[in-house]
Amino acid sequence: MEPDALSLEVRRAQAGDADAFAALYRAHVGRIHAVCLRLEGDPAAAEERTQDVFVRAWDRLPGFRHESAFGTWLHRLAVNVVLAHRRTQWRRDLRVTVVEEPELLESPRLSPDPGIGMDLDSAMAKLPPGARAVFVLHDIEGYGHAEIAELTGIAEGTSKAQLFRARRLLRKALDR
Amino acid sequence: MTSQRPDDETFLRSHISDLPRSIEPASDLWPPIEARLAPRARRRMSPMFMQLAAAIALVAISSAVTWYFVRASVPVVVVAMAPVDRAQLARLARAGDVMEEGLGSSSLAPETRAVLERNLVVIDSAIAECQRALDADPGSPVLAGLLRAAHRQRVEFLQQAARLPRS
Repeated sequence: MEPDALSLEVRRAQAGDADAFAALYRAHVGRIHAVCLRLEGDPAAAEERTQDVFVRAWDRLPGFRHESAFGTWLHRLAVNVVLAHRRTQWRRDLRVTVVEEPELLESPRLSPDPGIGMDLDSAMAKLPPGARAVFVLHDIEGYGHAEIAELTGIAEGTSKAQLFRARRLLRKALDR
Repeated sequence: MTSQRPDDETFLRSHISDLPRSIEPASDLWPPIEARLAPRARRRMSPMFMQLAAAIALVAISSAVTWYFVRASVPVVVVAMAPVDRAQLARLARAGDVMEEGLGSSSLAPETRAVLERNLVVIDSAIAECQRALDADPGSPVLAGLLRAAHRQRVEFLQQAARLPRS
């Protein structure tokens, strides 16, 4: 859909037009599902969060002020929805201590069949949740550590440690 | 001769650039989403939210009056207004966003949630108005103070909403 047409759909949806919102859903669902899938690491959970994002977007649309592109606003909302849902679990996972040897912290979850290569999305799905969140937000979505710390409720140092850990684990998985 | 092994970040960069930006879900999610969309016309206000709305309206009116005097260049006494601190404003905005998303996943009654949303729209409008004014006059500590107050109002409103009983 062209940007102008999309903007018109946004305004119609803001006025309560569910058909217009359906058009917005069609235009954006792939991008939103991608970020939900990468943050959740699980297809079923990602589909649930994707639904939550669009329901939440419908509720929040009257307050959308067109100060950013609708896609940007929706993407930000998606990150917030996933993080809010996962915050309790992640808080537990993210409480790591910075150590000299990050291998000591590695989860046995990322030790699949040796010798079998995998793509990055598959490897990310096998990361521990805390490390996956930080990697997705920092290396894929472009958030800074301060922002990640605020969004997830962890310290900046923890975010850096998790990123280091995630990269190390991913490299090991992809190097096989 | 030995080639130097790239660091993890460099190694992963090419993999990241190959990632698809869009991944369609396995099934069409629109029908379950559509079933969950709240009709916007059936919103009623609970007594507690009426009180909160009144508080918000009071702040909005006092902000509007102050803004009128500022615009009209009528001399007003401004007591020790802090200079524009954009980082603080951003932190307040973010705190509100985080709290709001927390509420999004909580089990509030649908009509309570609808009222909450409607009041947040009012506060968001006030914030947008203050932000536009500050954009036009970036150095104004008065406008910065108004914007800060509006953000704080949002955070306090969400704090009160977080204390509401869940269904």
